[in-house]
Order: sequence, then C-alpha cells, then structure tokens
Amino acid sequence: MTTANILAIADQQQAVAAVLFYIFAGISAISALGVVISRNIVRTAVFLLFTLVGVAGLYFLLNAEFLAAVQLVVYAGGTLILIIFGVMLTSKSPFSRFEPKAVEVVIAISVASVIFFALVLAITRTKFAVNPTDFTAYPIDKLGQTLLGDFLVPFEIVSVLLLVVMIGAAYLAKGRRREAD
Amino acid sequence: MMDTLKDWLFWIPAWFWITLVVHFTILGTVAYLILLERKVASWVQDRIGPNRVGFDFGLPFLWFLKGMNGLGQPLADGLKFIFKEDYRPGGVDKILFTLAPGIMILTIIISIAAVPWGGIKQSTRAIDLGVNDTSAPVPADQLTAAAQKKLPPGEVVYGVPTPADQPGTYNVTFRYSFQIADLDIGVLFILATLSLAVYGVVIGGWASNNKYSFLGGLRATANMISYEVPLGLAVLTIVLMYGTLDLGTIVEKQAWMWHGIIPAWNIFTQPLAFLMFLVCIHAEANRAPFDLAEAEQELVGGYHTEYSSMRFALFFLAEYAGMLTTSAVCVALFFGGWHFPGLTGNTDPNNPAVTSHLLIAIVRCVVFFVKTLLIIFVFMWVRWSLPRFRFDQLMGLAWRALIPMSLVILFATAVVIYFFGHDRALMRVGGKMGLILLAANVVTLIVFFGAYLLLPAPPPTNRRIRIPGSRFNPEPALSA
Repeated sequence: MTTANILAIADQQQAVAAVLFYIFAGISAISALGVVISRNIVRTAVFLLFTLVGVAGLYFLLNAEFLAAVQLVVYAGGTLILIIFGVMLTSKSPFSRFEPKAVEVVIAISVASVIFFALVLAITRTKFAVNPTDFTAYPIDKLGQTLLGDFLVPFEIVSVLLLVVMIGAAYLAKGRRREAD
Repeated sequence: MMDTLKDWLFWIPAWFWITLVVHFTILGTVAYLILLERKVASWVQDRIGPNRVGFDFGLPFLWFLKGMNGLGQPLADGLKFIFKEDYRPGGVDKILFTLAPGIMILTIIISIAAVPWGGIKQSTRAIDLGVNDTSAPVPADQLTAAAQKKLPPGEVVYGVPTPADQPGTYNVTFRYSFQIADLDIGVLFILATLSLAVYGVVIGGWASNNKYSFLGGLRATANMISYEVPLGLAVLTIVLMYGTLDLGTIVEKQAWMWHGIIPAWNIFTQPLAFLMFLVCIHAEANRAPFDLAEAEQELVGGYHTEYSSMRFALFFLAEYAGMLTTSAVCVALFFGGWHFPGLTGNTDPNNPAVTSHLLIAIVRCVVFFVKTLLIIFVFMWVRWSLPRFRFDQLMGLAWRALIPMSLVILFATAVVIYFFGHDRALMRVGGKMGLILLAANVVTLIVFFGAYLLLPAPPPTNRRIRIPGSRFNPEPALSA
C-alpha cells in the first residue's frame, strides 16, 4: 500500500470512524463509572473488562492494532482474569459487597478529582497533530527492533523486575502454606 | 431497472458479501457439527446414531423428506432449545447470568473475522474518476487517490489506473482479501479474542450461585490460562519462520511445492509444533480429554449446570464455534490454508495468493473449509477415544511437558533461522532449511523422551487421602 492509498482510505473512513469512536468511548466511560459505583466485587471486575475492551477498540480505530491486541491479551485476558480469580477464591461469601467508610469515600474522591483535573489540563494544553500523515510509522517489526535494539537495557531491567516479582509471589504463597500445615 | 439493480449490487463492497456468507456458513456448520459429533460418537461406539429426524415435520405429503439419515436433527434441536422454558434459578446474579453466554459466543464469533479464507482477489473495473482535465496528464499519485476514494473500504488500488474508452473514466485494478478483516496482526487478534472467551465460563460459573458450577468455572479458567502459554509459543515458532503475524501472508508463503511434489506446508517442517498446537487447542476448547470443567461424574454438569434453553444453547454453540476458529487457525498455520496442489492464482508470479478469478477464490474457501472440518473430525475422534485426565495430570502436561518443549523448539527454530537464514526476498521455508527444521523437531522430541525416561518415576498409585471410613482407611467411620 502506498501513502496515497492509505490517506484516501483514512479520508473515506472518517464518518464510520467517528460513529465507532463514540460507541467505544461510551462503552469505556459508562463501564468505568460502573466500576466505581457498583458495590459487588465481581460485577466491578466485569465492568472493568468492558472498559478495557472499549479502550482496545479505540486503539483499533487509531490504527494501533498491535497495541489493541496486546491490551486484550495482557490486561483483559491476563491481568483481569487473575484479579477475578483472586476475588472469587478469597471472598468469604459469593456475593460479597464493598462497604466503604466515609473517610475512604472522601479520600477517593479527592484523589480522583486531582487526577481528573491534571488530565484535563494535560489534554487541553497539548497541541495534537490534527491530520497525522505517517500511518505506517510503527509496524510490528520496527517496534520489535526498537525494543530489543535501542531500548534493550530498560527492556531487560523490566523483565528481571517482573521475574523477581514472580519469584517473590511464589515464595510468599508457599511460605504461608507451610505455616498452615 | 435491471441495470440499476445490477449497478447497485455491484457497489455493495465485497467484504459485506464475504461477512454475510462466512457468518451464515459458520452458524449453519456449527449446528451440523453437533449432529456430526453424535454420528462420530456412534461410529466409535459401534452404534447407528441419530437417523430419524428428516424435514417432513410430520406432514404426510412431505413423505419424501422423511428420514434423511437424521439430517433434520439440528433443526429439531434448535426448535427444542427455543421453546424450552427459559428457567433462571433463584439466588443467581441476574445480569451476569444472562451476560455470560453472550460474552462467550460474541468473542468467538469476533475471532473468526481474521481467518484468511480465500487469499487475495484482484479485479479491474472501469470507474469515472472525475478528473476531466485532458490538457495535461494527471499525476499517478492523484489518480490512485481518486480511484481509492471511489472504492468501498477494504479494496485497495493496485498499480496506477489506466485511461479507459470514455474521457475521465479509468480502468482501476484493485485487490481485496477474501476474508472479513485483513489485519496485520491476524494471529494475535485471534489469540486475544479467544482469551476473552474464558470470561463467559468463569462469570457463568460464578453467577449461577452453585458450588459445582463455580468449581467448573475455576477449573476451566486454570485450564485455559495454562494452555494459552504453550499455544502462544507454538504459534510463535511459525511467526518466527515468516516474520509476520498476518495469517494471510503465512498461508501465502506455504503455497508452493518442494520439487513439485510435496506441498510446502509447515506440518512437514514443524511437526512437533503442530502436535503441541493440536493438544493446546483441544485444551482451549475444554473438550475431552481436557473437559475437567464439565466432568459430569464430579461436577454434575460444570459451569453450565444451571443453564437451560437458549442460554445453554449459546454455551454449546460457542464450544463448537471455538473449535471451528482454532481449527481454521491450525489449517492456516500448518496445512497451507487454502493451498492445494495445483491451486495457485498465477495472476502475480511473486504472490501466489493473488487470483483474478472469482471461481478460484471460492474453490480456495472450500478447500480451506474442508481442511478445517478434517481437523474438527480429529477433535471428535479424540473426544470419544480417550478418557479424561486427572487435574494434576492436566496441569503437569502443560507446565512440565508442553511449555519446556515449546520453548526448546522455539529456540531451535530461532537458531536455524539465524544460521541458515532463508531467501529474504521470498521469505519462504524450504529445501535445506526445511529439512534442518524437521531434524530439529525430531531431535527435540527424542531428547525429551530420553529426559522423560531419566526422570524419577512417579508413584504408581493415586495419592491416598485418609478420610475416615474411605476404602483407603480401614478405621470405621466416625459415628455420632
């Protein structure tokens, strides 16, 4: 595909993309609200699933297909399922509910509003390129070469960190079981 | 009138027809797969199987549609599911109970979008581009852009449009993939969406408010998460060989013959990776011998114990649709997809996937589909032949056998590619390199079998749990 092809396709798809954008953004926003409002832990996790899927849809719309797929594999398919697993295995009653105290509510609201205003400021003050032309800037092979070339050391450090976390978690889990025996 | 209609049909984009046909074919096939399953079961067990329901609906004047060797069975099953009482037990989480089967079938149907059914179709059409300035030749870029704007999404202009008979009209050659969505990351997309299907199982099991359903859901989750690792690694060996995640390209690179006789499919270069992939997709589908999630002797029915009517049917259909997707990926990765000896497009010598004949594209889809059905037959054959694993055996197979083996084969493939790098222009795997890859597979298998023999043997019996009164404990049961 040449640049002329890609530009023309993008031009043509703008109307469809706009509709899809509002659908995905709506899914993300509403289910993000659901995550906060719902008192049932598993329902919260399911709302979080829809938030993550909505964000993945937005990535797809932005032609960042790899990022979208990774979002689905890592966050929706991996991390969240482990959270649900943990909640289900550890909660005392099957339909356990959050009962936050007044202090917790106040702290949560203040932290959330600070982050919200920081984000609003960041978004309004940044100058975004209105008509991005370079769609093929980050194909997967380039991404891989960058990760394992220019950014090899940070990449390896993060890997080692994750390994340490994993071994630590396994050790802690094992230690508790010995105590139980 | 006829011409307007024809024009109108002409401008409905190709992807629309492909989507329509693929979805109806998949849903129809899934219904008939259930009949096939029962037929295969009866074949394995030396029975006749369902052979009564035809299409006569009990009407005497339709006598000639009676029987039909049981072909009407899926229709009868579907009607029965629809008219059964939609029962929801008390104490369930009402929203999630309904949502779970929906999530399951939705994710699996979405994942089918990236399967490359028929290669790439090339067509030429005379289009009025609206560039009427005849005084100067129009720049090629501008022509391409104008032609691209006139085409529906998914169809990409190939080359530069050439002037046709009428002024302002150009012959535009364009290509489109004969699949629903041509994604650069096809394999990853399918793995990602399939990994979401586990939510249907786990949420369904949890929302039922039933301990057995919950246990089934947990088992299914542990099973699917564990087997996703070797599945991904087996896929990675193939991705490594071609340097792309695009399923269409992976199929295209297999569409040729070694020495004109052996098809260059990956099953011949990576048999061990294929074997691991096959085991993993069995586990992902939660079918015997991996159907711990619905072990009826232990869990009544598993995560769908409390489900009835269409909600149960959705779970049931999702299982078969999932098999269809994973088998299609298996065919694309290891069996050359739509390629069949003698069936290449010949439109573009550098790219055997491109064809300008609609008939060839359709025949390719049929070839792909038949190969997929053969893999599904293997699924059913295995299900009715092998007994169920114990849970620790299931986990042991994934973590002690499949994952180390797939890591070794991935490493071996990387080494082979590094030292015997293939023809970079064509990115094909064949000749010497194919033989070396095959040798690497065989050596890995032998080494692992040798290592298995050297390992200390596990105790020959199951671990005995001393429950008072059980047959492993001669003490009498504690009586009140």
